[in-house]
Amino acid sequence: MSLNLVNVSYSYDRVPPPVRALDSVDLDVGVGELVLVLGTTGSGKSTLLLVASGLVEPEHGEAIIDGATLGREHVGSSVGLVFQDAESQLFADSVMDDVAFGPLNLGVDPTEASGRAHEALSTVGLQPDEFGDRSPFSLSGGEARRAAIAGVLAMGPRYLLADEPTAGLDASGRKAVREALLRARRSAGVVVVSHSSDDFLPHADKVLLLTGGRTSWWGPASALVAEPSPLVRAGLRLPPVLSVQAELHRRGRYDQPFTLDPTEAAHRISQVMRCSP
Amino acid sequence: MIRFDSVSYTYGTSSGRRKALDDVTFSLGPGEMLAVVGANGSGKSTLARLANGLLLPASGRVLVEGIDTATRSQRVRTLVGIVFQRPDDQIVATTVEDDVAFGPENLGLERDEIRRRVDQALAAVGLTGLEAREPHLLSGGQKQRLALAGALALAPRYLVLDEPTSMIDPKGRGEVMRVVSRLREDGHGVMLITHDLEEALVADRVLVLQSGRAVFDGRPSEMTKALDLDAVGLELPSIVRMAESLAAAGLVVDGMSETAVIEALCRSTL
Repeated sequence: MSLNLVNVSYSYDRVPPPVRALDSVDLDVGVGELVLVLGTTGSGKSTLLLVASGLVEPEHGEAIIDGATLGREHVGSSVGLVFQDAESQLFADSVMDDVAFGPLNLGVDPTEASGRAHEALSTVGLQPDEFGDRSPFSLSGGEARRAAIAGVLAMGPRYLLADEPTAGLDASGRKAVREALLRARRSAGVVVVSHSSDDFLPHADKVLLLTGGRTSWWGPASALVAEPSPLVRAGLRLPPVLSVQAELHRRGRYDQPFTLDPTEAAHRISQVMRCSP
Repeated sequence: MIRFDSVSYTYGTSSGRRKALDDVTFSLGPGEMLAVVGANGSGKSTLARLANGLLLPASGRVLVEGIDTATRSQRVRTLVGIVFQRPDDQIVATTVEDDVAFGPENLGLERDEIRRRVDQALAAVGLTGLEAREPHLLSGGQKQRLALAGALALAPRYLVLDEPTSMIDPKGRGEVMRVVSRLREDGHGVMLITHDLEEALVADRVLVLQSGRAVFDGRPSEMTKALDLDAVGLELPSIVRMAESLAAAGLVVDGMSETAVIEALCRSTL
């Protein structure tokens, strides 16, 4: 099972001249995979999410879900979309009601909807007994963002798309959201869109790098870590640990494989430095 | 100097009173950069608003160049400029230069003086040439630099920046941080409020807040040794974890920025 974009293009033309936001882009995410889509502001990341969710039909190319043409009927039930500032869409009196709203709205019976809401809250690390009765508006930033993600998960999507899910959160909030999405990956294909590689590159299976609406790199995350120069060319910042290894390599002082793990990187560097004359 | 003297502040909420700041004492001098860090809800933004008299302490005193903010002196507001998190909320005019001119116009300054201040402020933040641009056409980083220019046009001696980079992309973040460093070099006292420890590492001093209390005030390099960062809701930047592991392996690294680590490593093998 997979969600595929094949040679997809899309232009915005409400104000002429048309702006090509996506140009011949391919994407492929399977259930159980996490794909990280990276690019600077204006690279086409958000348009890609709109097309991959079925909200927007591609101008050229195809969007396919599990072998069928992707359309609006898949939004929510098959493809869940978590917008930036998702917590601003929380509205109900209790966290439980908010999370159960989606499945109820899809026509799921109340007992089943409540069961799904419990499960979704557990997945995002908000224990239903502790958080279910609380007002969504009493939650911290990170908790509210996770409650919003639970609301999307409760609709039972096979694919989950998230736009900058950790933006504006502090360290503990970012970590909790990251862990929530990694748990969601066990039963769904997850696409995370971001302008920073810091939070998800160490956990991603594949990376799509967008530059000006085009694919500038697409492949396994491990290959990008091993040879990270495409990130720099796309105008993105290297994770600092990788940047140190890349610079030492450039100066001819480091010939080990690159790693994102700071302790392992230090170990490899110290080995090389000891051997040097 | 900005001086906080045993400052406490309490918000009234529907469920009672909540102490946002509890007995906080510190100072910030001209030409100095102080990073104020802490998790969400630790009291950082309250502290920012107390520094220029937007909020007044429930107990204790805030002094700006010796003036108590409780006197509600207009002088305090001009000495301490403040820039908030969301640039869109701080832009008032339809062109870049009108937006920067808004503050000085309100002070009733002469036309020539306003012109001089607008030009100077835009030059300081690197927006010269975009005077006639509509603010909504600017990038996130440019908008935040415009907000900074607006604060600079009032010729403050101190700048309080409340998470100025948390809503903008890494490129914009770099632009804003370069301007902030220059302002410190020009002699401004800068209070940078952030939950990004990487940004805090470039400051002269770091003040760490936890549940409204100051739990650390000192040099960034001492912070990681003195504090359990996890316990105060902060994440040790991976570059610092790497530097610590390098030190443990006998490779001495002085400093914690990327460049410092690289330079130290290259020196160590010469």
